[in-house]
Amino acid sequence: MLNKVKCEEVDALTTRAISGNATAQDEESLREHLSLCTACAQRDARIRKLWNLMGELPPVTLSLEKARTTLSRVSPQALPRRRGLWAVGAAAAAMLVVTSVILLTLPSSQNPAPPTGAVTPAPAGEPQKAEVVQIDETEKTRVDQILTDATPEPQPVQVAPERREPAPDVVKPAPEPKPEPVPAVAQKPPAPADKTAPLASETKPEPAKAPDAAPEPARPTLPTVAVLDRVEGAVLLVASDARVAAKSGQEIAWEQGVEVVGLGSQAVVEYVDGTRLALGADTQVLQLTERKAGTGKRVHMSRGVLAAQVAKQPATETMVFTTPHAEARIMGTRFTLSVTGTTTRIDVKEGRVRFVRKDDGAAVEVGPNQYAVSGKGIALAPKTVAGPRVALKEQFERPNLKWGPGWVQGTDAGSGLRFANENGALSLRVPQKPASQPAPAEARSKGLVDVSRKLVSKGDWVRSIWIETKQTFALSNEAPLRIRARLWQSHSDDKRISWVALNRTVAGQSLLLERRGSLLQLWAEGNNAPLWQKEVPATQEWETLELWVTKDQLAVRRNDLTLHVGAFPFGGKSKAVQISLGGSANLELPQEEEARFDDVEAAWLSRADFEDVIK
Amino acid sequence: MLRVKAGDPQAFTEIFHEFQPGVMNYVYRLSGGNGALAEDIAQQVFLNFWLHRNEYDLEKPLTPLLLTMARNAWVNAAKRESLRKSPPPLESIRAAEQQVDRQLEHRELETAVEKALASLDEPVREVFVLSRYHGLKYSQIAEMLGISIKTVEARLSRGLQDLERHLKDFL
Repeated sequence: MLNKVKCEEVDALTTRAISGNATAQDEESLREHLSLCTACAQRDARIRKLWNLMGELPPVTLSLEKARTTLSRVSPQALPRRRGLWAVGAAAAAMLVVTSVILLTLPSSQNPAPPTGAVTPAPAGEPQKAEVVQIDETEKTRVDQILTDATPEPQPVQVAPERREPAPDVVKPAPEPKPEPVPAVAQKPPAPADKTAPLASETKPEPAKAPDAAPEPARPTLPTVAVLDRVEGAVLLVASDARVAAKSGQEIAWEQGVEVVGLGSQAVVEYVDGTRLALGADTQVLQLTERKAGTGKRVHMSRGVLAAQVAKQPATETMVFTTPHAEARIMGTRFTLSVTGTTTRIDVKEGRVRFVRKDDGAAVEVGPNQYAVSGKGIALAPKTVAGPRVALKEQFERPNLKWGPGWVQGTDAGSGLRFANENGALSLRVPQKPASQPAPAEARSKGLVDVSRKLVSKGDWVRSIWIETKQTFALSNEAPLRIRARLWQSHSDDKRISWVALNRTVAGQSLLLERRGSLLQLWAEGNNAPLWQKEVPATQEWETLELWVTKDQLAVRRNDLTLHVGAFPFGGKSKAVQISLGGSANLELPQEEEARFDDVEAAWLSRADFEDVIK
Repeated sequence: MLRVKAGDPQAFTEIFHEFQPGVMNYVYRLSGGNGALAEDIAQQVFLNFWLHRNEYDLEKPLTPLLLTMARNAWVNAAKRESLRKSPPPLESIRAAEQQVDRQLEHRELETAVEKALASLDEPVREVFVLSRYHGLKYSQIAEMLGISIKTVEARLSRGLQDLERHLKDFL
């Protein structure tokens, strides 16, 4: 008999529950009270919401310099070099001692080596590609796609053959021999509505089946938990004593598992409440739920890739996913779990998940667009999924030349050059002659040094106009800075240049990407000739120019093609850059001319993006 | 752990990387947002841990140990500088790369949450932080802080109440 819980005690019980301090008795008492008392149920939900909300904190970590000094005081060699340490860690897999580990019995013979010494780099939120997780990114995307392709409104599950047909984007690699009792799967083209076809040749011990009937491998008395859907390739229902081929529409009972075999196979499991799990290649999910009703669904996943869309669960019935390395507690979210022999990675799309490492019970909350990895020797911390961090985006849509407080505008007095804000772009008008004859000395504004002047020995560029960011953008090797702008020219004229520049007003550090007539050139201060140039005519057409910069490298791209890769000449000096764009012209031009700029953007991308670009 | 005892620097590196965020976050929250202090203390804690590693029972979980060390360091530092009276203005530590985009990535909710947390009374905040962000059980917290489990529970409840007041607009 449960103790009757009074309303005053509910707060304490809820607090225990959410902080992981509740006993089974506590949980039961709480659940019972909440099912009877609406006011308390609301209060409980509110507290839980608050608890989750408190996870919205920016994580804070030691600055790289501090980390370096700390480590170097212990060992001069133990520096937080990122890539280097990854390599060391993986190689050192066999050498480490550790805490208890749940070992897998996997066909993919993982020797039960103790944890690797893999380490994570310092800055929080930095995107790290899956160096440790061997699961293909494409597989994850495919499985998530299976979920998105046909996400119906949550409705009571029917064993109905006429489901919406998938448009699977399944990859078709060659079939692979599997070291398992199930024979190799021949790849099939995307299966149409006919459910028997994919299975006919795939599994062995198969009695002939009627198209829609569910075969019963010894479970007639257990209630149905979920239904299979969108089955393709070889999918098995696994019970304690048998593995049987399964197909769409088949019901899954308590304590049955699902196994997806072979590349290109898939299955979707749909629960009564609309929760859906998409299982990808070589994925095994056992124990789809727990024995007792009312305690939340439990799914144990031993390997593979799974994408889930979890319907809102009752507050006391958190859905729990377990893998050999981790446990994830879900309350209505969308996420993907990838399990290898040694690690489990969770990528959360929507909602929040409490992700617990089995080894030591360490837990983190993983929020939208974040991921975390549980594995030996890997720091358990949510990281933001890589995507460009856009720091500057200017589309020149504000009227009357108001660029906002972030920009500084300047021009040489009497140059006659002017900006106009037309048709959503920055238009640079260059009249044939300057308004007055500017004397080179006074043409310089207020102590700012115009490098473009210095670069060309003739000193013809007496007329310039520009806008420059006040903000500086940091350079780093791990997060390359990509500066992008679209450019348009009315005429091809080598007496005029349009440019995108870095640190134009910082002595000794300017870099300019210029279009001069039909030439694109890269100039760096202190050089009498361009670092690089290429003949690329572009008159009366928009071109997209990109300058990618890290601490020691740079790349120039045009219309999504890399044209030049080289060393960033100011690697040692420049820690951050200001961005400017503008134009310069000779004293006289043959005609009135115009240049336009639009869609100026500065963003930090990932190292992997940069490496793709410089290949 | 054997390697730690043996003085293997590689082991230190691993421990450092794994626990450093936790310690940093803890001191940062404890101090109500003092980034510079958090960095100094974190550095101190790891070096001390390393120097005295043979004196600790390394079979027990490291988190409460490191956090206790951090807490003691914080208490000492705060005493010296009378920092405990009023929490310093919130700063945010990021790696150098991210500092520049602070103004652009302003998130109303994050700030509100940070402020709400910093506004808690110190004893309450401490307990909340240990439970919410480090996943410590009541018994572990009680042992760390030298208080009873009942007190831990009471403070946590009180923390939630105070936070609820502060963040009611978001609930």
